[in-house]
Amino acid sequence: MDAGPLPQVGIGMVIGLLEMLEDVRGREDIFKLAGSLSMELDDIGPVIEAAKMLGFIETTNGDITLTGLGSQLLNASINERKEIVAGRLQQLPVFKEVLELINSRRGRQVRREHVISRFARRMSDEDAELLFKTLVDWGRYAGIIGYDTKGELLYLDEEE
Amino acid sequence: MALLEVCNVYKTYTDANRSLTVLNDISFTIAKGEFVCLVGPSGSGKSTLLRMIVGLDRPSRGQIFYRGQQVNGVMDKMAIVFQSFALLPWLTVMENVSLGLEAKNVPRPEREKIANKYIQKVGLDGFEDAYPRELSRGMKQRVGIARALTMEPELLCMDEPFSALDAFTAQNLREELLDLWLDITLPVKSVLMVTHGIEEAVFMADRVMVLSKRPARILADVRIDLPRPRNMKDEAFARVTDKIYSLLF
Repeated sequence: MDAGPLPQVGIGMVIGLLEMLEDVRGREDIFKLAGSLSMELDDIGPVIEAAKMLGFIETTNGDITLTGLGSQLLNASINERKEIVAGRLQQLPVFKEVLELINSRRGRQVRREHVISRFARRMSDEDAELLFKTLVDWGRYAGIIGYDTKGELLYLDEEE
Repeated sequence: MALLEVCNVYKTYTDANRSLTVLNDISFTIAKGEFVCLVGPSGSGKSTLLRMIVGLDRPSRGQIFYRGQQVNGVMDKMAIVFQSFALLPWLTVMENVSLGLEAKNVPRPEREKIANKYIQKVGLDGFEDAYPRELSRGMKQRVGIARALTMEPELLCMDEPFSALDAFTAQNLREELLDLWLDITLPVKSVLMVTHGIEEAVFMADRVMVLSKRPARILADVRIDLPRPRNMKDEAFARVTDKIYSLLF
């Protein structure tokens, strides 16, 4: 499997971007958006990339457009949003890979070290660490993956 | 009766041979249900005023009343959220959120029940066992908000709660805070928020109080009648924002 990296941003940033798009009737020029926020493209880029990866926006010719799912997310409550994100994360190759890995283990948990060394086969050690961090952050947000920081163990978050 | 009454408050700092007045005769009230923002230039004493309201500091002259009772120290029905989050790095999210309850000697099972309720409300579920270093700034501020909510305040005071956040996270949290304020299942009736962002104040508040440069006095108390949800890109929004800018410059 060759699940690639994830943009280093929090889900809150993605939702903030969608809220700003909603204020301009769901469509904005990326250059204009960066300018109005006094942000560099390097800062705004990963947020756009994450929103696109999750299916909440589309980009064409330098414009961003809110998708139907993006609007649905904006109209959802704080907890419904987590469910929508969870549904999307389960489609992403890197989450599929890690969820499968956890499921294949006795006790359904896997050590941090193991996941990172697996990622490091196809990227630098530093990128593997960053990917792990984002995976935990998004997984915790969506309530699908839990992480025990002291024991350095990743597990399925099956709590209702 | 007003929820909060600030009456002729002054704050002066003195040492052996100098004195500096930061707040000069400040009076206003906040009614139940209102969202009020306090804006003004940096150094105008906004945060000092907020700290006096929640009982963390005292006026040099004048008085502050909460539901008619003079504020002399930290009060039960008010809580504060800080710009810098003020989290203890060696405690988990759950432990940070329950900190105030622990200080009030609430037994552990009840503490966790209350903390859990507010962790859910601010969207932190899943992060209960995380440590602050594992959290984004936005998530850290959610911990700050959840911790304040566990005190079940009627008046939630916030000191520049979004200014340490990136533009996207800040917008996300502003909208979520408005949802919390409108949530009738929560004890929060009114919010008093200090900010230096005029757009932010107009986006959030029913009333914007504008402070002058030091020594600060109230320049204006502007009612914001824009319908909610507000849109920062609207013309009407720009008109109100312009009006407040013109008061300051």
